[in-house]
Parts: sequence; structure tokens; C-alpha cells
Amino acid sequence: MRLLRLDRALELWRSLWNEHVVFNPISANNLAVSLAERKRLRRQPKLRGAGALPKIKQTLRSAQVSSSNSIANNRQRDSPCSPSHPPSRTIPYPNLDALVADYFAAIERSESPDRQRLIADHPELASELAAFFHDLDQVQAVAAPLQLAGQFDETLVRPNPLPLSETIRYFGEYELLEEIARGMGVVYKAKQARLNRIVALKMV
Amino acid sequence: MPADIDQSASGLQGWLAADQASPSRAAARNEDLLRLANALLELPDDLREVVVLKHLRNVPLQQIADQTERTVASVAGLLRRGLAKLLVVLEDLK
Repeated sequence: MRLLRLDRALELWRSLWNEHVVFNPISANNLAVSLAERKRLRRQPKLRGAGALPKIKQTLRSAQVSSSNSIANNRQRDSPCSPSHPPSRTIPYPNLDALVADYFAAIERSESPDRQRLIADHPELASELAAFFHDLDQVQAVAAPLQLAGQFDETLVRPNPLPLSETIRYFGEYELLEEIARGMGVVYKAKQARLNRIVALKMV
Repeated sequence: MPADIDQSASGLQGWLAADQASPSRAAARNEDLLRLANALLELPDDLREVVVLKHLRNVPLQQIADQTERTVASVAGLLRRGLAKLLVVLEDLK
């Protein structure tokens, strides 16, 4: 077993946390910058690939057409006496990721979806679903004690109570103007009366 | 933002400190933590992002989809692949 270094773990943790601050309202400005940056980065490859996409779609379409034609031809060859061979009803292939998404959504609604039933209902995806449930349980066993959930939920999900600035106008020499952000504490835009300047005031 | 990082770090330290009574368990937890952090860092960016948001920050799937401009199903797909990959890396780090 390798030697444990807590400071290294903390450093890693900080870097992870740092990378994913986009959801934290306390960094509203960083959020805007970060989202804009993400959009920019994501758009670039799209722009580069924009010409290729329709071509791929076209290729796919023509491939589908030719394969369905050949199936039709085969059918006619195979059963020349029964031209009324019923075309098989196209059942949309149940998408594994859509099922996984539904499963997560149910969990988020505090439901306990029946895994075995889900697998039984989709036998064609049985092994994939079983693998997913296995992976999910394993990761949750490791990650659950480390969840930073409380912090996230409280800051973003809980409806804000009446803003302090609507009940208290002054705090010492600071006039509260508006609430800027909410995290561990609450940050207000405030005016420092004595120096007549705008400041950020954090209540902890 | 520094306050935010400190908060997560102190939360983590609090969590680690909570188990001081049992040094061996604390060590085991530290090991888990270190392994998990290392494993997460080895995931490709898109997989790591959704795994961290969903499984460490408990962000609802729909919200992840909105923020990352993906469909819910595609986030679910990333999660599914991310979990599988994470386990493989965790196993390697053992």
C-alpha cells in the first residue's frame, strides 16, 4: 500500500472543487465567465465539424435507404407468392441512457425504482443495466461519505428567506444595498457611509 | 471563491477529523479519499465533470444537463461510462 498523504489529497480535492465551481452562486461572476468560456470552447469543434455533419447524416440516410431496399428485395425474392408480407412494426429501440436517466430521475424524486423489474422489462439491455447498477453501487459506496451535497443543496435549492437587506437597512456604518450571493454566509453590496464607497459585505 | 474552497477543504478535514478516535479507520478513509481523488483526476474531463456533479455534489441530472448544455440522456450516458471507468481506475490504484 502506498503511503498516504493527506495534504496531497486535500490539494487534489481543492483542484476538483475548483474546477466545478460553476454551480456555486457565491461565484456569480466566475459563473458567467466560466459558462461563456465553456460555450466558446464547445462551439469551436462544432464550427470545425459543421460541414462534416450533414454529410454524415446524408450518408447514414442513404445507407438506411439502401439497406431497407435490399431487405425489401430479399423479401420479395424469398417469398414471391406472398407479396403482402407485413412490414415489421418499427419498435423504437429502448435507449439505455434514457432508461438510466429515468432511473436517476426516480431516485431524485426519492422513489425506489425496482431494478429487477427494469431489467426484466428490457431483456435486450439486461447485461448493460446490471453492469450499470453494479457500478453505481460500487461508486456510491466510496463516494457517499464524501458528498458535498449539503453545501450545494442549501445554497441553491433552498428558497431564499426574506433578504436581510429588506429588513435591515444598516449594519454598523454600512448601508445594505442588495444581496449579491449566498454561500457559507451572505454577501451584500453595501455602501460604507463614512468613506462613501461601495463595498462587498460578507455576513458569516 | 477562496472561501468556497476553504469551506470544502474544512468540510473534508472535519469529516476526516470526525474519525480520529479510530486511527485505523481514519487511515482507511484517507486512503479511500486519496484513491478517489486520484481516480477522478484520471477520468476524461467530460466524464469527471458529470460524476463529480452527480455523485459528490448531488446535483440533479436535469440541472447538470441544463448547465452543460446536454440532453438528460447524454448526461446519463456520460455518468454510466464515467462510473464504469472510475471503478477500473480505482481498482488500478489499489
